[in-house]
Amino acid sequence: MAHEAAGTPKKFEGLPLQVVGPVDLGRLIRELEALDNNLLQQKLQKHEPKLPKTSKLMDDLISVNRLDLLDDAERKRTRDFLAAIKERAPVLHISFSADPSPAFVEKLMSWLRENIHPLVLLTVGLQPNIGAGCIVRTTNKYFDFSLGKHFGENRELLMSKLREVTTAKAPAASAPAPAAAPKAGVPT
Amino acid sequence: MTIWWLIVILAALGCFGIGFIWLIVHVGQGGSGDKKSGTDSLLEASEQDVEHIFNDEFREELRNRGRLHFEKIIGENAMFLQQDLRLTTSQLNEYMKTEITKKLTDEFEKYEQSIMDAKQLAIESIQKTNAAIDEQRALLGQQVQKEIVAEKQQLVQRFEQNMTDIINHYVLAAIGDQIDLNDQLEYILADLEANRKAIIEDITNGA
Repeated sequence: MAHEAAGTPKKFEGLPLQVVGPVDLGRLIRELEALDNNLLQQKLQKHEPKLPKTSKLMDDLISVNRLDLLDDAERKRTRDFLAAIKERAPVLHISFSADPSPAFVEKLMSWLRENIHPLVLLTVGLQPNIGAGCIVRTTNKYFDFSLGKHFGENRELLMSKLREVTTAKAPAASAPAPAAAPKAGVPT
Repeated sequence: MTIWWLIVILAALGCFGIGFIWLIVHVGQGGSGDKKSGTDSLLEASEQDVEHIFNDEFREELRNRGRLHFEKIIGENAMFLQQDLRLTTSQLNEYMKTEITKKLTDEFEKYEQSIMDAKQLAIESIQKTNAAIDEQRALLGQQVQKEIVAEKQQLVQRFEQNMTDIINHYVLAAIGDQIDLNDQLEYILADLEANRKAIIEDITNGA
C-alpha cells in the first residue's frame, strides 16, 4: 500500500537460491494464488487479514525481496514477476551422475546467479553413465564436462602412455627367458 | 618110265576133254529143244535149292556170323576211334593249353600295362593334387595371416576408438560408488567458469 501510494513500485531483488527451476516457480505461483483466495475469503468474512503459514520457498522469496504479501497489489506484482521469470528467464539443464543434494544445488545456483544470470533457472537431470562431472545444456548449446569427455580429450595422452607400456613390454616378452636362478645354498 | 607116265597122263587128259565136249554138246541139244520148259524147271530148282540151302538155321548162322563180324569191325573201329580220339584230345589239350597260356600271357601283359598306366596316371594326379593342395595351403595361410593381421588391426583400432568408453566404464565400475558429487563441485564450477562466456552468449542471444 505504501509503495503504491508513493507511486514507485518496489524493485525485486531476485530469486532465492532455493528456487531452482520452473517447477519451483510454478509452485510459488500456485501458492500465491492460494494465498490470494485465502486473503479474499478473510476479507469477505470481515476478518482481520492475516497471512497464513507459507512454505519455505515462499518465506525465502519474501525475505529476499522483503515483500508484504498482505498487500493485494504487491501480491499481484509478485505473481506477475514470477510468471514473467517463468516465461522469460534463461533455463540451464545440467545432468549429473547422481541426484545432487540440496546444498550442492544451492552452491551451484549461487555461482550461476552470480556469474551467468541473476534470474537463471536450473533443471537437474540424471545420467548415471557420465560417471563424474556434468553435462550442461543451454538453449542452443551442449557442454559436456563429463569424465568420459575428459578421457576423450586426453585420448592421445592415454594412447601414448599405453603404447609406451606395450612397447616396453614387447621386447621383454620376446627376449628369451632368463636362466633359472641357482638354488640357495648350491655353489655355482 | 617117265615117258609112259606122260603118255598115260595125256591119254587121261584126252579122255577128259572128249567127255567134256560131249557133255557140252549134249546139253546144247537138250536146251534148244525144250528151252522154255528147261528154264522154268531150272528156276524152280534153283528156288527149291535156295529154299533148301538158305533155310532158317543157315540164315541164323549167317546172321550170327554177320553180327560177330560186325561187332568185330565195330570193336576195331571203336578202338581206332578211341585211339584217334585220345590222340586228338591230347593234341587238343596241348593246343588249348598253349593257346590259353598265350592268351592269358597277352591279357596279363595288357592288364599289367593298363595297371601301370593307371598307376602312373594316379601318381601324376596325386602329385598334381598335392601341388594344388600345397599351393592352396600357402594361399590360405597367407590369406588367414592377412585376415588375422587385419582383424588384429581392427581390434586395436576399435579398442583405441573406444578407449575412452572402456576406461570410463572401468572407472565407473571400479570407483563409481566412491565418487561424491560434492567433491566434484569445484571441478564442475571450474568447467562452467571456463565456458562461462559461451553460456552467457547463448543465453543472451538464444531464442
